[in-house]
Amino acid sequence: MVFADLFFIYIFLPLCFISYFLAKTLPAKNVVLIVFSLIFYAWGEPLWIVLLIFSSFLNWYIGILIGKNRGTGRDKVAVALGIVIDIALLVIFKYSGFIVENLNGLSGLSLPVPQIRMPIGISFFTFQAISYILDCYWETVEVQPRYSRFLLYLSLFPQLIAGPIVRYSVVEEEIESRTVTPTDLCDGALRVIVGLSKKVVLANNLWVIVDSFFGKDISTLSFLGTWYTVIVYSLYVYFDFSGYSDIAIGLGRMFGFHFDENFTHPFACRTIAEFWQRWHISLGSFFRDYLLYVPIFGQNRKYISLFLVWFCTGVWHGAAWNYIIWGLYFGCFIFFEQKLGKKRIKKWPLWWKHIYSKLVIIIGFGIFYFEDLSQLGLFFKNITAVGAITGAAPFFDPITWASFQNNLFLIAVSVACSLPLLPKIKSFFLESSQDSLYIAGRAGSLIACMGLLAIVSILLVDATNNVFLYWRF
Amino acid sequence: METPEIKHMRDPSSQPPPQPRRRKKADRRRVLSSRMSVLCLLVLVLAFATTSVLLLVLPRSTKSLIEKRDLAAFPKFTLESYFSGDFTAGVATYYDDTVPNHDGFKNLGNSFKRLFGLPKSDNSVQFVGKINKITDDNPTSEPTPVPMNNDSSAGEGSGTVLPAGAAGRRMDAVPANPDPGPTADPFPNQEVEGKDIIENIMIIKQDGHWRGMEMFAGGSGDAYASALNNLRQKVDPSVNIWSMPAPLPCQFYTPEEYKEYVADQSQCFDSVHQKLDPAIKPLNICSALSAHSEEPIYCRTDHHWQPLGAYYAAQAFANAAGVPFADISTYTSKKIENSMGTMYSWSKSADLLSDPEDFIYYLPGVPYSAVYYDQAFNFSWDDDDLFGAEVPEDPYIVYLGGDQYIVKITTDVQNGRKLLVMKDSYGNATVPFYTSSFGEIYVADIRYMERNLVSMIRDLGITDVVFTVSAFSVVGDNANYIQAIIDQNAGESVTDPYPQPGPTTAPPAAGAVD
Repeated sequence: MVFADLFFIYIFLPLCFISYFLAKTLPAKNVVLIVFSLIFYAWGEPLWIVLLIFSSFLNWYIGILIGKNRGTGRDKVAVALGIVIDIALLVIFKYSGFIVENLNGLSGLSLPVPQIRMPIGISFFTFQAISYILDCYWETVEVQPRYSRFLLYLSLFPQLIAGPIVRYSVVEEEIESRTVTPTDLCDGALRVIVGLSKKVVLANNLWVIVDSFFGKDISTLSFLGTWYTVIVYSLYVYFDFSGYSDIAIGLGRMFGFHFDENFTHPFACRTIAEFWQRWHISLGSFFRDYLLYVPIFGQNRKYISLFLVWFCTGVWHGAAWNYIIWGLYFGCFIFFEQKLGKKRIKKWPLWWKHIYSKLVIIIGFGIFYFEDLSQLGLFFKNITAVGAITGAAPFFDPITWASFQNNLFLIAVSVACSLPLLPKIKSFFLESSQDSLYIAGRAGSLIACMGLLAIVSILLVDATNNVFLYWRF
Repeated sequence: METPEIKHMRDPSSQPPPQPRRRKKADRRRVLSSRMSVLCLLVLVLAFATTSVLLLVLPRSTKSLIEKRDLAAFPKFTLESYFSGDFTAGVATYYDDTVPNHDGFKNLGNSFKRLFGLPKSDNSVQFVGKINKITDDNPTSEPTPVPMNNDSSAGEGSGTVLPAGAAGRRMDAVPANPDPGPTADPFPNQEVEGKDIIENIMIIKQDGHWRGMEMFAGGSGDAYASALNNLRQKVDPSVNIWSMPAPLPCQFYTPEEYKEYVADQSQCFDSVHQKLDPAIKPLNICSALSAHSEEPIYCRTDHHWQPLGAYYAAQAFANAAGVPFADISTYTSKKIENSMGTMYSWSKSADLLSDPEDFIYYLPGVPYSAVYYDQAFNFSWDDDDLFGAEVPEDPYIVYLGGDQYIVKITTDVQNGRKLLVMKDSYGNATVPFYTSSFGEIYVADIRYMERNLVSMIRDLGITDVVFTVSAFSVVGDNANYIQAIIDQNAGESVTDPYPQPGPTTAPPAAGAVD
């Protein structure tokens, strides 16, 4: 089931809320959430729900083993076993085809390439499970003695299939004790509407532009057309993914959970390091906390760890070389910035910092888009104007100009919404000492969100492709 | 770099205690905030609950006139469909697709999208789909795959397509008895999905009106030429075989700056005609139509020509064939007002929606009778009329009950000429204009006919065969149907069943059957 769907918004969600608020005790509410979460997952993956339940049971039991055998050495075995099984599942379901294909290519063998359909959300719930058993081992969280509560953590439908990667420590207390205030419900619902709007109004329509240019042979796409499309694609990925995160965070809030933010206006960054502090924060912090500081290569080999992290970041996004290139590409710029030093970068003029970071990010999204490496080569040829210089592609084309004119306001609104302008306007009203301004701010956001909900609902009748990009990860 | 969050992480105990006045104000704000939240929540619950209930209790839509299809049906439950995910996906699709007032919401959504761009003026252009420049490496035209009537393959839950016939181009059907022959699969590039298929459409404002056009990318037409040559070999040399492909509107209305994105259809037809057996008579009507491009010869909101365009094409054919031809002034014109055809369905352009057009068709001034047969040439009904009900959402369906029927028209013309019009939907509109030119006219669709073409020509005494198919059918997969109907049921004999009809089938209801 997808969030941006009339069935989800007007059937699944109301039924879930009615059941949730009819349940009187917290254990009963948790049961309601588990049941609806499993229905939510089984709706899209009727078969692989078995895998979700297996993974949750295994990792819960590993946690129990760690707790029981703490300090005996067996806890190490348990945590190692858990990580190996979790990663093995991920490799089997997500990477086996890719690995065999490359093995065949390198060795000249012709091993049969496994055709396994990847279970939705496996990357997210596997990482959550790994974070739990490592946290148990490092004693940063208590071992959860009840399977049902761990199952609730892993399967909680707002964050189940496309993140954010919620740490157990974030929801540990709220699983056992939480309250929902009218403010939680109201703010959560408004956040959900904002997320839906990002997806349905902005991302879906930005995708139409991207697909019309990149969804074909790009050998004759002009220099400016390539830049135009990749910029629009960057905005699309941001609104698609951050929209999903908004919905997840909003839904969590409505059930009394407070998930961490996953995006904080990443395009407002000034360096690549800052971009990754603002983009998919839960993934970055996962690698930072569980991989970067693990002394695999010793104290003096931090740069190897750095590139390992970025290799993993790339691989996590997909079983294709372009994702690995994409990860290492960002690793190179992080390395460059670290070598240069914060002090030197601080001396750069602000405009240069913005140009540098946006160029790197936008070209990076080009790498992210093209799984076909020959198309990726053409992309680089066109975006660097080599295609235009050699006459293979024009410098400019009228189709791009027509598309730009026909989507000018959509793009302008998208750019504005990607920057921290609206939060500033919101805080101007809501943090004002004058009650009238405060009331105007609250009423204004309610009216705006009601209007957005109406537009989203209407556009969803017309929507045909609402699958979130990050589903496939 | 200090992040904004750090400010909030300062130890609160290090700050001085709030003043009583300030605390009072904070308490008041807390109360106000709480009240506002409750109010806000009430509004939200009311909105969600009302919408949820209305979507459940209001009658669900079953058909979309603007998309020309049946909306999704509730899926059947089977263990297989459940475990494959088809059932659950089908339930959600059913709910989403059959929203009450489906078409109204679709139109509203499309209209909203007009706000995305600058206000439109004359010569404003929009492109829908993936537009490629015409290059030597890109010679093949990929027409819009149109969802069509497909009884068996359209899956439940996916939304089947209305049997619109004339509305579109059949890309999916295989003739009933195809002769496998040396090529078992004559339709290698079948591309049909349930809905929302968009490929390469240009929408342009010219002379104050919006026009939607598919963009033609050219193609070799080898299959078309080969099939016609093959037919030429198999039928009596006395039978005249004519090739009169119908150009698409982009030939005449594409602005100069976008010409490199469409192939020249006149050149394409000439090139295809050069591959034909010299005994086949080619007729390139591009220049004949070009002379009238200022007149409404093509629909602006549909992918077909207007009957006036078909009239000029028929006139060119009659002149070439040496048969009489009645001037258009002898016809009675009828108007379908505010029509909105396929170009809107496919492009979803609100600009097109805002600018409907009149579809003007012409009733012959001479007497004639018409008999309708099914695709296997079994008698269906006779009602002496070439025209059906008027459907503004699909104006072209007014002709011949749609695409798939075989039709025989008998006129008072006594010149001993019997015409067989082999056509796709473009050919439909030409047929009434032949009523003063030929004594008998048979009409059959290359995509639907289930009898052997060679036998039909021989056994029905046809003297002239004219192929009137669109440029897309000349260069695209539809051309494969011509070879298929030459090969299927080879050697059979064909008898017109009409004088001894079986039980008469009622003519189709408007918009339901074509």
